[in-house]
Amino acid sequence: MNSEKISTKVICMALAFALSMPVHGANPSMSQGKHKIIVQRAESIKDNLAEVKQATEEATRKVEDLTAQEDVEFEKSENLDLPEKERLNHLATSLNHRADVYLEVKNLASANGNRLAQVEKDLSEIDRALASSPYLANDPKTLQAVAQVRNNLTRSLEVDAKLSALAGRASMNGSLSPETQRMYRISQGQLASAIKATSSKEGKTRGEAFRKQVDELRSSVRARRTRMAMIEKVTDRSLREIEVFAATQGTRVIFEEIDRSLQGIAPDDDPLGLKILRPEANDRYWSWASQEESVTHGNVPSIQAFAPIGSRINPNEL
Amino acid sequence: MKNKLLSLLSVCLLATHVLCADAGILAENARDYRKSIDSVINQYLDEQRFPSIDQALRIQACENDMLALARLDPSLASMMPELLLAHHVRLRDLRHLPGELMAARAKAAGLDVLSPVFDAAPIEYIKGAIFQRTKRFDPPSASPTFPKSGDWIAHHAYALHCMQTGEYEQASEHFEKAGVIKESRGGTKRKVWELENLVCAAWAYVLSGDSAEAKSVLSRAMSLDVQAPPSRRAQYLNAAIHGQTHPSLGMALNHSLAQR
Repeated sequence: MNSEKISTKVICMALAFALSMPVHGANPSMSQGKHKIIVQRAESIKDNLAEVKQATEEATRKVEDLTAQEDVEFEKSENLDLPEKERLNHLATSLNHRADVYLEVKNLASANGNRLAQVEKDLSEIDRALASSPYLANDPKTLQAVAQVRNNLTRSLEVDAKLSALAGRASMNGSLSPETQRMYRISQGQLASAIKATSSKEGKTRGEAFRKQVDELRSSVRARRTRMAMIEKVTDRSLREIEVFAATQGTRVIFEEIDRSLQGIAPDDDPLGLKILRPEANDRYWSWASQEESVTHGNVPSIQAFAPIGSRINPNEL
Repeated sequence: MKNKLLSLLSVCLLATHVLCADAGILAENARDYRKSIDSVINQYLDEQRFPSIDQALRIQACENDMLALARLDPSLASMMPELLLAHHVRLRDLRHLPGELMAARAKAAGLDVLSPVFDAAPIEYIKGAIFQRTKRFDPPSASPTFPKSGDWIAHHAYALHCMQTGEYEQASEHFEKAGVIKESRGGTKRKVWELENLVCAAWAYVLSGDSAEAKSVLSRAMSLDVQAPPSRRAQYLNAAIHGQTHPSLGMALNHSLAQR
């Protein structure tokens, strides 16, 4: 019983509290913090663009240094007075610097692209925050509502013209009560003021100008984002190209070395290396064995009608 | 159990408060607007009294205020009720105002009470007493040609035209004449033609400011033995005249009736 009473009290208190709270959306836009959202987004845009600028400046400096180093190394690699190996080493270092330049630019383009995407997102957020604001509304729902009110107004003004004529006549006859007369005039004044307040040419022009500015900015950011993506792609392509060059150059050096080694092993004038190998030298070994045999069996000359071919040629000449 | 009911009530109250708070002042204006229209309709149906210019101006003042609010805050536009004076009232004669408001409310709730409803089947009647034969005709569309006496189809076409131009007295007369088929004593086979013409006549009487005649014509219409589903236009007029909701009309139409 007690718990029931307590829960009832809690519900009633919660209800009273909820009813006393201001309802979100009931107040005009300034209290909804739209201006705060816009200021925050504008700050974020400013920060991102500053970072883009700073990063670009830093990367430009680095690229300039690397290019200078690359030029020095490349010049050295072209110096014919230096030994081949040293020249190749300079060329490799030069290539490394070039690759570093590309990597630097590629990373910069990628990071800047991400920052510009954030800028574009912030601009869209501003656009959304202002979507239902006077003169800036461009969402279909608000536009439809504005059109609906305009349509109602057109018809209502016709009725008002007829009723005003009737009321004028009735007023002259004295058949119109002063209260109604006053009330109707007030309502007419209110509606006229509301129309006037929402039809300000300046307001519309200002709103349109702001929206145009946001659109132009967004389009400009998009163009730069696209450019960044293109820079990233072209740099990546150049990087891969230089990798291919480095690979082919390296391979060429290796092939040349192999070729040189081969030249030592099998020269063109003696492809089988017979000058070094001297296969005919084997003969003396054959001879050496036959001498030993003759010593063992006495000096009895052997009668050979036919000398075998094998005894007459060098087997290596077969 | 009590506790649960209380919680449910609290949730409902809270939800109502949250939903209505945005529209606050517009909702209050809409309530005033509804009350002003209710009083004009009730006074006409109950006391046969026509609205004064004061009442018309009060209704228009409500519309002006709601429009001003919606103009200043377009998000309120969707919560604005249908503006009956702006869209449905001709203001040719203040005597027409209550009827036009009733018809406008029904239209806003989804029922066009001023247009007759005929199904796709042709209308048939028996001609001749000795050599009986079945004759057919289709319902005509509106025509400004004044009908010859006894030409029920032309009467109907002209009555439709009169409704469109706001000549309700003429319309009621011609609808009544259209309901009488001179060539057939028994009328049409299904009696849909007679019913629709009488219901149209009753509505035309309502619009012209003769609610007594409207009641009489409506009771004649409802006494017919019709071979078709009941007419919603007739049911709506009957509910409006007697100030009683009808379950078959549905929530929107019942809600559009003037509260007494």
